[in-house]
Amino acid sequence: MDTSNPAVLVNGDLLRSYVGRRVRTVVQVVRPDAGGLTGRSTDEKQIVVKGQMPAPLTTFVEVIGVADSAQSIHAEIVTNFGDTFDTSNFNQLCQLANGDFRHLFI
Amino acid sequence: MYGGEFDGAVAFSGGGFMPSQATQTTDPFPSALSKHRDKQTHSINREANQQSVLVGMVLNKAERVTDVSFVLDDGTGRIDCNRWVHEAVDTKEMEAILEGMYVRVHGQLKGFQGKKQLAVFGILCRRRVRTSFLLDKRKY
Repeated sequence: MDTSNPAVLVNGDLLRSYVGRRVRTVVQVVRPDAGGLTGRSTDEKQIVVKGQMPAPLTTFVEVIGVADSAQSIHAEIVTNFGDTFDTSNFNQLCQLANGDFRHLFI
Repeated sequence: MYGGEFDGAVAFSGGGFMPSQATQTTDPFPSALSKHRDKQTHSINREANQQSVLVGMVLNKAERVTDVSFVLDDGTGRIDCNRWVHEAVDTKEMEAILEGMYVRVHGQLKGFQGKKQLAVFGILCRRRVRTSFLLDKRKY
């Protein structure tokens, strides 16, 4: 069981705590940009994602990569998550994964 | 077979595999597993593990004549998985599984040379991803 390179589950607010670390999150695509996209996190924060994107993009994507700053991620993997997604569920997951149940995720 | 929702009746039809009452979503975190690494069958929470269900991303897929191996990353860690392919239907099922794809796998935890591994019985690609599988970890 390899746990050597975990990606921390984050939302927009938690991203600032993991700058420079490998993170994973789900964002709603606001608009594609040159070299990436601008997205909205599950807690309504803007996140810029840089890197190679799948084509075509669905409404929601999962981003796994390194946090460049409190508002941007350099993506290693971007996966389409479809056009419907329970954002409140994921937001709660991020809070649990960084709170009481942190030991199960990192 | 690759529809949005996992249908247990469809997945398990055709014989050869029956869902066990002991099926549970597994937290592969080492602290939840037995410390007796030499035993072939691993235990979870001191109960003999009948089946495990994992959802994660497929990595490092390697296809061989008699089996297909891959690594499953569920967000908390990675575990080696192995799917024996005996018939053409098995091969065809595994051909549709691609690197980077999210899948749900059913299998049994095994130990091999001191390393944990999942012997996969069935695998389905997930077209819709839900976070409920990660929230289930609260049970452990």
